[in-house]
Amino acid sequence: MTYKKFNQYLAFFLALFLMPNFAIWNLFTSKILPEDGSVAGDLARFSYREDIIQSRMNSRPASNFHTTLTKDISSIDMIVVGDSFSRGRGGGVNRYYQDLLSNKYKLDILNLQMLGGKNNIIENVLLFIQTSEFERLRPKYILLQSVERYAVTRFAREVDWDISINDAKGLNLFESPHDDVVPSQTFINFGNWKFLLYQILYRFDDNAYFSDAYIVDLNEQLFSIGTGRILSFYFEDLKNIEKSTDVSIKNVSDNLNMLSDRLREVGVELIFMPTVDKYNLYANNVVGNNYKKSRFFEMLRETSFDYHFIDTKKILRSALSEGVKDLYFTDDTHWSNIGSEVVIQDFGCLFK
Amino acid sequence: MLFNSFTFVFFFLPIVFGIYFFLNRFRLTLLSKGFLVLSSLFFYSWWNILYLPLIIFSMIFNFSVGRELGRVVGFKSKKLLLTMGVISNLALLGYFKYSDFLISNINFVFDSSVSLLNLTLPLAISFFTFQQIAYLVDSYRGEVNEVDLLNYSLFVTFFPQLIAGPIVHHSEMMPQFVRHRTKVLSSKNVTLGIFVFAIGLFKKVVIADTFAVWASTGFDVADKLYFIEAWITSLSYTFQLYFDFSGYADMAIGIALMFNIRLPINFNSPYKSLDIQQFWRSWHMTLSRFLRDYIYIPLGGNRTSELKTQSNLLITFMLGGVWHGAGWTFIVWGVMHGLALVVHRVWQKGKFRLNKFFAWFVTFNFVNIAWVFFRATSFDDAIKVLRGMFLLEGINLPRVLEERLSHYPFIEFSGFLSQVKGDMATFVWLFVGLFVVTVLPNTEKLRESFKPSVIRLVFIFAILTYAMMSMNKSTEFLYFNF
Repeated sequence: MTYKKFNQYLAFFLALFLMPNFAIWNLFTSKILPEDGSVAGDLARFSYREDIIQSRMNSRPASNFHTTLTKDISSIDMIVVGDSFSRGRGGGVNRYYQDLLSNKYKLDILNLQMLGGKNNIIENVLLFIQTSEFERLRPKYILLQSVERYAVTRFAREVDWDISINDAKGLNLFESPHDDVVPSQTFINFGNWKFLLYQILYRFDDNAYFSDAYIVDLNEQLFSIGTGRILSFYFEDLKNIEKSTDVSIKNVSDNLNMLSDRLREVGVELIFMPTVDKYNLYANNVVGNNYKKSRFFEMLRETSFDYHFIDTKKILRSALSEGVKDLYFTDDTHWSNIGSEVVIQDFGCLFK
Repeated sequence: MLFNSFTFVFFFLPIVFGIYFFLNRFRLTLLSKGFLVLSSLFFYSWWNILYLPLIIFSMIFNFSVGRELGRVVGFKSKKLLLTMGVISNLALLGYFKYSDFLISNINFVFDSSVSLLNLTLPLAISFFTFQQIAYLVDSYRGEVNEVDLLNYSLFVTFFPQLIAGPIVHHSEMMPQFVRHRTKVLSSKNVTLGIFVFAIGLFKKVVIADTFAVWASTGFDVADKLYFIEAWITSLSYTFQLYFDFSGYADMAIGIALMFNIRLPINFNSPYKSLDIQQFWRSWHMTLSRFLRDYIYIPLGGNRTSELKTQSNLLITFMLGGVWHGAGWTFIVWGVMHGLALVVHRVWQKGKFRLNKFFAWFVTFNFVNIAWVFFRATSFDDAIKVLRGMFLLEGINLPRVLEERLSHYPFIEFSGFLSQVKGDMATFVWLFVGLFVVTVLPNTEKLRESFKPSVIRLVFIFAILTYAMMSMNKSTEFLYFNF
């Protein structure tokens, strides 16, 4: 083979490679990573299923907003410490449930990221109440929000109840957390080929053997996209079910009760809101469900509460049974504004 | 503009390549050179056009001084002119790169609070400054005399080597532009250029960027590191730096080759070295050459007393450390290597011998440990990693071993590898990295033995397409900060 021929063949095959990439990207894959400001959910990105995309634009029409910490904020009613749910990662209209809470109950709410420190949420809260920021803010409530699948990992851990602010370094209250930003993609990417592969594999397996997203059928129309009978959920909804044991749930309960007592000493009420995993919420509606079912909420209900417990599974199951659709986005692990509006009703008994 | 970006690969390079050879085809040599210079300046200013006047000013200044050095006759006048030229270049470099370092040290010593200047370091300033200092010295020695500003501009700005080297001598590059054959498109050089470029791209966006995750997390995020995580951190950086920088060098050499220009190689399997001298003869070779020819030898080199030779080595490598960065950790890194070379000299004089494997092991681990200082942004971070590497923070093992090993006091079982965001694949990557750097032939060897064939076509196609798909997150090269 001559060098000239080599170059010609290489150019030819590269062109053959580029063309389908261009086509697949423009026809399909780009919808999963929209660049027009609209949001497509995380499960759509994991599964490369553009048929579940529930396209939405972010907006905050609620008149009262929650806030984030700055040095000139004085007293506050509630501090929220949470994960992506508390950072509005579901997107869409009124993506922050804190805004809805703030509006409905006329509360000043601060979303606080406690980064660094001991990387243990409870210990970080114990550190926080020793800081000058706490003295300045003096909240009446601290709301701990966590997705169900990580709740045991986060709250069943051993806690150093005597932790001192002098011993801990690097508790960072002002820094914003680094949320994974969806990178801008060009038309040449692995996603195009995953799109093709998954179109085939999802026909044979609920998570296409490799995907982080499960796609299963529902026995009734619970969503408004497509047939409304497709459920997508994150693989860790299943993986972390076994973490809920008698011992671990007791540890969660003991730790939260202890934390509640410590917070009451400084005039703060603890609210714990585990956000039910999407799979767990819709598990009873999955056709031919052979997967394990979570008992996190059922087991936690049997423990004693010195804190205020927001039972999101009970609240949302009730709404489901009343026929409310789109409590979660079809294409996302997060609840929609419909779901969060349902949940915040339960705060009424607290703030009457 | 980065080599590993779609803008460069699909727009800049093909357009510049096409127009350059098109102009040469019609023997419009002056125009083609001018076009190449303008393209290179465009390439440079893509980063920030505000710094374009700086490189242009630097070019014109050094060209003028170089030309005067060719004209001036008296020894003293020549020396004065050279001194002025070198000092001016170093002053420019010093102003942008070392002002804040100097100020913060003055503040520390005198307990003052002089404000930092917070200057942005102009892209490639260390490289084009050193390249031009080498040119001035060569002009002083009568080895070179460029009288054409366009040629000189091309020498400085030729885009494949502009941003991060190799540091090229005028006599290495410019005679190639004069030759007729250089102006004719060569299928062979295009093939070899693409081959070398593809390997470099793959090294950078696939291999180096994979190791970057563990290295960055370990150095910058973790507040302490257990034994295994500390070694993963340091080894990941050792591999990241090599694959990133040698990948860049490969891309530079490959692109230049497409233009029929041979740049000097910068890496010759440095991690296969059996001693530190061999390491410095195969790592960042053009910088080593500069340090040797323009610092070590003028200081007296090894043609003086043993003590003076050793101090020359220490000074040279301390300055090498300073060149890399304005920080004490860089100086410590440089001094470490200087000391290692001194020890090596003594070892050689004593005619001691080490088993080959042991020699490699010691050399590789010394280099690995020294990189900790190179990478760490502070001594605290360096100490953090070293404490972990030397078992001072204990070992963290997977939970499955807890039942058997929990009675040992220095073993913990919390989140194995979570400090570096690693998993079992990390070990596979480290093994692969080690295998590649110690066993496989380097890019230059592969290029030398290249012959067009179906297998090589498939190979280039595979690594090029994989690398292109991995290119989406445009990450800067490590050496962009120099």
